[in-house]
Amino acid sequence: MKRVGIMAVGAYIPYFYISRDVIAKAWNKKGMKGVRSMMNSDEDSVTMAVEATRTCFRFVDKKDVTGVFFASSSAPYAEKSHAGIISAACDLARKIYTADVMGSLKGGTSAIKAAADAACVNPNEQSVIVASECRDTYPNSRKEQLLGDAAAAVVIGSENLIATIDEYVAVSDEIVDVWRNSCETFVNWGESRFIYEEGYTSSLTYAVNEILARTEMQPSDFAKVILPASDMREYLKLAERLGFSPDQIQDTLLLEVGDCGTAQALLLLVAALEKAKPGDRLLVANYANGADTMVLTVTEEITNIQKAPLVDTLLSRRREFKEYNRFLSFRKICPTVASVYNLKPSNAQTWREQDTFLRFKGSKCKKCGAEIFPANRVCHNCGAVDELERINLDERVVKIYTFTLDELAGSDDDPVVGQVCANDEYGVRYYNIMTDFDPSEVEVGMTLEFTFRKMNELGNFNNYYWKFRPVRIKEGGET
Amino acid sequence: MKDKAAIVGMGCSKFGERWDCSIEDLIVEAVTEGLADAGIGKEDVDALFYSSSFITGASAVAVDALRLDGIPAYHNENWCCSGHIALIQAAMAVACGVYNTVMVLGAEKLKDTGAGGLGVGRGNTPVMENRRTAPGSFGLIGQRYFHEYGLAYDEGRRALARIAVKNHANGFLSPKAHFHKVITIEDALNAPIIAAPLGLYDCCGTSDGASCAIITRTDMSKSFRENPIYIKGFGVSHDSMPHYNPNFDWLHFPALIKSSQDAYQMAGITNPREEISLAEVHDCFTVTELVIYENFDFCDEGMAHKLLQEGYFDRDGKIPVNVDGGLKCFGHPVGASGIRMTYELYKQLQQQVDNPERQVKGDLHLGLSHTFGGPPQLSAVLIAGNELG
Repeated sequence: MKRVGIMAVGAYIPYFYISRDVIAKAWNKKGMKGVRSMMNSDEDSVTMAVEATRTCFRFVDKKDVTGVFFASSSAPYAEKSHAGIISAACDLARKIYTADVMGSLKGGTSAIKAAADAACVNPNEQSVIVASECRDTYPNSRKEQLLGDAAAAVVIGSENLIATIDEYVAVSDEIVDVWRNSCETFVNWGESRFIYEEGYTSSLTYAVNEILARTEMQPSDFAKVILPASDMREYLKLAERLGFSPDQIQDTLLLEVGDCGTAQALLLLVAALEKAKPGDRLLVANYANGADTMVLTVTEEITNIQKAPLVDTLLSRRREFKEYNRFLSFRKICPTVASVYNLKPSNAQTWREQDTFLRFKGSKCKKCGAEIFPANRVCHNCGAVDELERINLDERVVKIYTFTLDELAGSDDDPVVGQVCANDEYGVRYYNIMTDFDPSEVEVGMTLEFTFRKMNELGNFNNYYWKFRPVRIKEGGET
Repeated sequence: MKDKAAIVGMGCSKFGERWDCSIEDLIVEAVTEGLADAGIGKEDVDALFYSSSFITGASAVAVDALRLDGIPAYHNENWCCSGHIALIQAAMAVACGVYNTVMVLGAEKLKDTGAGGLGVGRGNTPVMENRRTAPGSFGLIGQRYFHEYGLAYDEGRRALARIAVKNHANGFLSPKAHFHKVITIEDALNAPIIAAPLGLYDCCGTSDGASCAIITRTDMSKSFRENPIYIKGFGVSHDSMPHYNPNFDWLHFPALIKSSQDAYQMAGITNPREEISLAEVHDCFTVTELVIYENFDFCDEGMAHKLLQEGYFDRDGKIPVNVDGGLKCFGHPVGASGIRMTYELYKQLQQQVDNPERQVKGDLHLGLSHTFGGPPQLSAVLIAGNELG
């Protein structure tokens, strides 16, 4: 097998988490251990995927990306490319391969294989694989406490690898165990002993034994095993049965994030790589109606991505959400009155303005160098007409110049809208809404970064744009 | 343009939540008063200058309501400045002799929009304009003012509350005003927050209302009445969207400064603090009124919050501001507001205010009315006087 593997990693865990106790108390029962992550009211699997993808560009140049694979079972559109939205929001090249790998919880690992195969054929191929999930299940069900929202991404290619993919074994086993019909909101599960014995345990046992045989490796050869877990115990039973000790099993983040479906395998892989040592062997064993398994070897390059472990950073920079009723309304399970302060767009406007709305480009005057947002054909500084070049602004860090905490603009379940005017260090003034913030902490001079969010669904489609959030990812406010 | 045009009649409907009235009813109410005040009939009007921002169909609404057949009707839509700009266009039209006598009419039926407050999105970039409201937009002034002049949040809110208390006291004395409620500083501070730092009493009402003016050439004005009110000066200034302007400091509004200076110059005013007898300014929010004092040179920069405490802008103060209650209490039917403000000047300068308790004491010579529109980016000022020269 040609040398291919992982070039970069990215991740996104929402700002909010909710304690399982809070959910349980609403139903007058005892909660499970830990907390689950929850998306904000302006997030969906596309926005989380954009956030995860953007963090990959800490390590690779977005100009070199040739493909985007989006994997999810909770994507907003039944028909329309999501990888295309992600590609646009990240301002990737027009000549790019985009693919949506939908509906299977092993979509992320499936896409890794496709991208690795592509890189084997053509060494110039560099694909982002991003898996993102925000599944819903019945209120008051155990799974409601257990699920979590998150996204993770890897870049697959053949250069500057932080980990090589040495072997890959995929297995398909037909079984109706975990499913959601196309018109349903909530995920269904079959009887638990049946689905764990005949589905999860059976497929993974077969696939793991197959890859161990093919690579002539022993369970003890692996530094970490990335094993998806949709239950607190079953994955540990399986690990023991396969011959792995508990300390070989990568932390499932079930207590901090929850079962984030398609994103889980990638998120755990990213977390493992962020702590791995050169020479470590990793086993990924992902389950969904069969299994995807792969063996990886961590390279010397791994230290390049470990200066700021993103998963740890994201977990440490978030805020507890204590209102179960709003958790439900944020997910539209129990909708509240929406804000009336929205304007309906047309398909044509949204298409025409995508450089601004999706790519968040401003303009730089070729005559005087002044930068401005939004782009304007007439320079605000020197008056030159049509002497502009488009520039990306989404990675800029800004400081609040002035702000309002607007309670008229909000919706009933999310009443405070942060309206903010802010400056970057290049003299650009922005006027955007702020999200993921604590109203009591906002002040003039506060440092913010940009995040891609859903604004509304008017026009009967999703309208995405950029908001401010208090710096969460960027270190020390560096642009 | 000084003294070239005169106002010879004015009318103003009752402002407020006029659930049982259509915009046509409001128009007829204002115009009936205005024509009677001028002592003319609608057949004596050569042209209509109509101002409205929220009703589509432009001037046709007014023409239909009044059966104003056979004359030109010009529509003006410039957000909150619509009424003022229509007045100014009408004054210019009679001054240059195109028409002899024209009607300026502003009307709005905001309570038919179904929303409790105003949004300020324009619709050309709807996604960027998501969740934009008038208080959210103007509230941006507050935090910056507090920051710049070292006011603690509570201290700043207390200064703003002083404006609300003043305007509520004035509005209580205005029979046609939307709100008739005297409030205290504590009432204002304890009211629900709308867009921090703005609370409920920092925000003007969204109201229904109509107002009207009859304007003619000054040389004809005495044939209508003994006490016409003369247009002394005006200024209109637009800025490109200030929110995106890196040089904009949220304290000095170029549109406010330019429009007021142009109006002062035309009117021959060199010291507004001494020469302006009273002013009706755009208090869509208390914080707007606060910065207008400073931008209009009614006081020094950073001093407004102090002078407020001394009663400088009260009805019996040095410069009485918004003596009819302002947008805050009289109400703000957008297209009608500039004309309503001018109606108050007109009545004050004629010493014919509908409630004598509200009449500003002393010799009144010049009044200033002003609207500030957009989010906020355009300003219109009109100065009127009761004497020629």
